[in-house]
Amino acid sequence: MSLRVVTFEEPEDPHFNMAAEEAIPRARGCDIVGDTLRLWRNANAVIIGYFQRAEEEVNLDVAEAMGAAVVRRFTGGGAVYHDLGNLNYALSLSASGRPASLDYVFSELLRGPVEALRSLGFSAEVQNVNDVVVSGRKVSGTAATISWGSVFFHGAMLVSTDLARLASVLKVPAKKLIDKGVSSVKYRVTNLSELGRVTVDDIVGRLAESFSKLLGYNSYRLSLLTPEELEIANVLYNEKYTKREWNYERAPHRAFARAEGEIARVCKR
Amino acid sequence: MSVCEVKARKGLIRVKVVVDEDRIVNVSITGDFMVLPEDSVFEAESRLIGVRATESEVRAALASALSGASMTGVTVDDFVNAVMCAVRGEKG
Repeated sequence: MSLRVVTFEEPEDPHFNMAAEEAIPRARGCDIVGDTLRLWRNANAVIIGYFQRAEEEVNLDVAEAMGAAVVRRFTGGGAVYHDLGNLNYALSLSASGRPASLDYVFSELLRGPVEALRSLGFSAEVQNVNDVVVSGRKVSGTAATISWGSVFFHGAMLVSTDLARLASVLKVPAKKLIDKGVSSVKYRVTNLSELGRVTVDDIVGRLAESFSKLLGYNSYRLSLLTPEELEIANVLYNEKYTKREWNYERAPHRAFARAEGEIARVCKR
Repeated sequence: MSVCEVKARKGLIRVKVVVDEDRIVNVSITGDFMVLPEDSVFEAESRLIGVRATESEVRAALASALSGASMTGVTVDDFVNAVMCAVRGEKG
């Protein structure tokens, strides 16, 4: 058995990228696809957590001047800046037969990125519940949800991101971490390329290998998004991820009833 | 409206609250914490509306909304503390 790996990305369209991010666990949960690891990037975007309000986390004038869209995601956690030097990994598993808790995700699934980095010679470890740290510096933040019948875990890994842009567009705590070296968290963020010779491409293969091994697959296979996943992504893009209510006004999932109805129809087919 | 931020073991909870005649009339709970299912946080906001702004009533409303939720690095007590801190008008 092999783990399905998808490298679908639309770096210039962060709204569609995030719609696809939600479409995969939706499709996994209704058994349209098997367990899936997605590896992907945005070119220039600020991604905020489900419980965050854009104006509180993002210097909106800076984001606008940078041409960086602000997109809210469906998991909790903090705001992050994405450019092509940041690699995103996202794992969508069936929820059946798995514990429905964050403890499970962060004690088990978080080993995926940690082992991938160790295989490249980095002394990676977990700190502060769900951060991946190398040499005392945070290189990857993660988040998770258990929704729609899927256990979903994703993270953003700093490989060669423009940290000055990151610091200028995010309000605390990222700015504090980089500029002042911190109040609440005990370490700063940094790029893996500052800690060793590594590129995004190097890490892509290692993440596919480490997650395959962790989940008991003996290999992985590259796959495209299915027509159903793309259909769900299109619904989410049109009805949710391009809407101000979602991205800026912290509306809950249930506020997007038409999207829920259309996705349920795709799932039932 | 008054605001308070409380730093939990993992995550910041920011509460904005409006109290009128000892009752909560508006509240928002934002931050970078993680709670599953996510929408129990919106449920918590709904349940706080109309509640007397005392610790026992706030705790009861939050506990009923968040009972059964999965949290890591954040507790119901953290949410109670954040709401009560905002009610008192402290800055955290």
